[in-house]
Amino acid sequence: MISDLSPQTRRDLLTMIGRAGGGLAMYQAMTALGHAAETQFSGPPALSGARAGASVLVLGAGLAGMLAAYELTKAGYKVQVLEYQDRPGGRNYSVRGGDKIVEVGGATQNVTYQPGNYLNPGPWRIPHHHRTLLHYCKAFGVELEPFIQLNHNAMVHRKDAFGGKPQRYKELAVDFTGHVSELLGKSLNAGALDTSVSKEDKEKLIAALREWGALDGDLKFTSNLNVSSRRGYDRAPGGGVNGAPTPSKINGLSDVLSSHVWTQMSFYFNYVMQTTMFQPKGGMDMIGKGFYKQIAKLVRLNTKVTAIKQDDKGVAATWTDTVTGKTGVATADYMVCTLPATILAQLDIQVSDAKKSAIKAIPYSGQVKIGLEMKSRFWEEKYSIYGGHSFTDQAIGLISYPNYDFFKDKPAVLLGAFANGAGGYMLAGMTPEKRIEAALAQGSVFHPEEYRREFMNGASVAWSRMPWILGCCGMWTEESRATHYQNLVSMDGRIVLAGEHASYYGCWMEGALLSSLDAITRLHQRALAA
Amino acid sequence: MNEPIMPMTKRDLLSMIGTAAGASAMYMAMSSMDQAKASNFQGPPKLEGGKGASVLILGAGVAGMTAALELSRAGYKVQVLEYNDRVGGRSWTLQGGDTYTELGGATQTCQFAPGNYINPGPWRIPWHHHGLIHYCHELGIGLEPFMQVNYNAYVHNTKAFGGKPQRYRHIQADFYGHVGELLAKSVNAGALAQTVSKEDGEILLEALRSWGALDRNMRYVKGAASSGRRGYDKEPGGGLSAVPEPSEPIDVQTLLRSGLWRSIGGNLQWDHLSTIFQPVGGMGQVAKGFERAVGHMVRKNSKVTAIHQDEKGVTVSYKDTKSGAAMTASADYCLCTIPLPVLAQIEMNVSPELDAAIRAVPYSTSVKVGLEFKRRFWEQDDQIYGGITYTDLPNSQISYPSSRYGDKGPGVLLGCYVGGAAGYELTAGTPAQRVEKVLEWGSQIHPQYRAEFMNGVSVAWHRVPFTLGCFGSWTEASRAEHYKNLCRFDGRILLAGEHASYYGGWQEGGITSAIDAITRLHQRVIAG
Repeated sequence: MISDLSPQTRRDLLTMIGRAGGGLAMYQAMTALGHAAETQFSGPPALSGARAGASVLVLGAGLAGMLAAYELTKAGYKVQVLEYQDRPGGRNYSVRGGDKIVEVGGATQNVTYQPGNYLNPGPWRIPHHHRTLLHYCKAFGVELEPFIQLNHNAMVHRKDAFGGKPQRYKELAVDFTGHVSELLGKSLNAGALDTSVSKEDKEKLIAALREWGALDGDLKFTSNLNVSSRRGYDRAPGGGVNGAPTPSKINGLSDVLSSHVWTQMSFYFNYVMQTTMFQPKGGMDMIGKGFYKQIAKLVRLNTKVTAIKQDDKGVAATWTDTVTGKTGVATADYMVCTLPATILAQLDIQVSDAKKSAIKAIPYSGQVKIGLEMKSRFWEEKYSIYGGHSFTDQAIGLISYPNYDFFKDKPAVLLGAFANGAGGYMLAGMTPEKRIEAALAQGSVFHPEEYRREFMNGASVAWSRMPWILGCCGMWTEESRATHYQNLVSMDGRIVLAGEHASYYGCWMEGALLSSLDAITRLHQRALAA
Repeated sequence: MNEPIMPMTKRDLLSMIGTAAGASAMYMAMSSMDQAKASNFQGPPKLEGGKGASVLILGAGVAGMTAALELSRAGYKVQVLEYNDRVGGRSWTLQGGDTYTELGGATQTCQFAPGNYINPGPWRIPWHHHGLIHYCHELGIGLEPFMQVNYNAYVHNTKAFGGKPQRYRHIQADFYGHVGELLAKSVNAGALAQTVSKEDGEILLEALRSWGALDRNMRYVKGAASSGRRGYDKEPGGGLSAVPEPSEPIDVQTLLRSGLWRSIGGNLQWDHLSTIFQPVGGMGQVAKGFERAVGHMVRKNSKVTAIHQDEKGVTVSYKDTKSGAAMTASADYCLCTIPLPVLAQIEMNVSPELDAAIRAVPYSTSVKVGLEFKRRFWEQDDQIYGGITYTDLPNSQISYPSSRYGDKGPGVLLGCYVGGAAGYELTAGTPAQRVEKVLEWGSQIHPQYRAEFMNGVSVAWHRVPFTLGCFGSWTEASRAEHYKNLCRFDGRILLAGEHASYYGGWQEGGITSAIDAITRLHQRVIAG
């Protein structure tokens, strides 16, 4: 049996002792390892010395807007923030029991999740290299816990593969790796790559393929205990007289290919999806609340901006209070506008034609997330799935299992859909009730006995129908970037834009924060130079 | 830029709508998925009617305490003798204030700050260790995720890259990329036409492009695709100067010769797959959970000196290690979970076959060294949050704590986890020498080591008095000859523990072995 030890076993005692003595001097001289490549974030901006009485109006109390308010205040500016909604955070948002979701068109959902349960309709995971966000989480005391991104025991489903029966990710991934290794080994041995790979490298590569692909002595990928020690067994090893394991049967190449499992493998390999990932304890909105605590007194909620003007003296935003109907005008020397481009495109805003074109050039994606509350954590109890995602090629895209309250005997909310593209539009076009029904019908493919039986209630957020944004996030193309990006982010008179749409980290909180830092740094330079 | 959404893009709206309505009936009719494969733990044993028979259990580790819990529930009279002054055996956590004396007399007092710890023995719990997870749940032992795979941790070979550690993500992305490119080249050249059908070949090329992050020409080169995996020279950012700069992949020759691809294999092992857990507060919480349920049956500080059986029952002689008093305990049956190196030194009247089996299993060595540092520099400087760095240096790995992320410190990391020859070498030194060696090695990966170091503690398992080794190392040959004899009922004595399982070195082996043993014991009792 595989022991709980490191994979390195063939260590030579003698060479090791030599190494321990000899190599040291060199390493001692090594400079600290280079960390510069990790991010464009190099600590909070050191802005200071704002001119006395200089003021900035910030539109939008999402992360970009609140960060701008926080740092500009520290730098000495007088800041006011206008926010359309009755809460701060924008897309940094968690839906809980007692919340009400009102869509464009009027459909209203009253959420009935149990206390402690939630759905993160927008951002839900934080890569370890999103250092700006991690920095402010720490600064504002937002506690993080691991987000289980990669779960080898979750499932992969494709209608046209395995007769529509979901497979465990680990089995397909191991089989894919094994077949790829066997085929490449065969090509190498047949001399098919002799012009590309030297003889020495060929031998090394074959050794690597044997080990990494779990191939047998003949470089074949077959059903045996070694392969089972990767993909799992038919009968797992156990204790006592009948403890011996029996191997599981591998899938053939054609079946593995039909599953498109590489799609999921590629997904997990993505730099932004790599472990370790985090989530805030208690819901994503803990981050928004952390920011808000710092600057709450600067924010006017329930305030809808209707026009944005500027001249050589300053900026002015006309607003309407959405509760009282009262109207007003807020003025300042400068403006940081973080309104989503979808909303901004509908406003009367006094900026250059180039910026207007840029604002109108970014379509927004239309993701839909559905949170289903279930009576029990059957995915853990019966399927041994603790966090992570099961993927499907149906409209729901995936279901994702909660990464908090593991093992608890109480109702839990799982993510019943994270749809985008056509699937997103299809679900967004349904009534909230029909979305839940579709999520139950499609998600049942993974957990057929339990899904409907354990279902209690559900809530959905169709981003294209959220009145304050009308989409999920900005979808740049290479072409639109080339034509419009610099125009979008450049300072236009006294106005600068910020938000995830004004970054190369679109759809991520990190993009919003980096964009905001870049914008206020330039604003500050301009203000000092003026 | 990548967005936080799923990778499926070529979806056909029409076919999808059809699916949503039409196919659901089919899925509903599908039978539930086969869950049996994941483990041979089928729930706790259903033993009933123990008839008041008595069982003496030797050893209050996880195997012994599982047996005590289930046998007492079934109506047996249970007594447990434990050598240590604590329960748990190898399921153990060292924290500040703990004192540990090893064979030879060296005593260490752990100086860690409150909340810091190391687990000298088991430290992680795979999702498919159903037996252990069952008892954790039942006994109220909180579990939290153990970070097994961390793409941002290092892999390190002193003989490659001038001894400079590489990020795991670089090695994995580049290895997959080169393998993808080479296989695509073979497929395109028709080298596999005999093996792979034309249709599969086309799908395979699509797969390799995506999986290997190849470009349009099926090459693994510097660019958006490869940097989307391995990371950038300059990260994407916000505002005016946001454009990312791609990083340069390592060429195939350098990569292969570095041998570092080997370090990405460990995470593909069944026992290391995610999701994987650790108890909140240390592995010793498992021991504490069991103790809450069976602690009243356990007599600690009791060193077994002889085990004698006859047709009537079993009598065990033991010594109270505090008072020195010689005592005996008797019962109808004996379940012995004492590790084999210790058991081999205890006088016991069993069959020659069992006696031979007990002596046939050498124990692997293993050394763990925990180091406490003033701050969590691996997080603050290196952006490594949990996970494991692998090195060819004798310390073998550095594992970063999977809890209290972002804490200011002090923090404890596992500076060494090594078996084999390097383990014996390190075991030979004094605790202070071990810590010094581990600092010396680790400094080559984290130059911050010396400046931030506070204190360290080590457990070298061959010097642990209660096991004299880490766990049983079976070979195919020794299994064939001795395993059944080791597990078989011998008169009134049965053995259990990880050594009596095919899950050697894991707590799950101890638990499934105990359940197998007491199930057979119960059958014997019922059969009268």
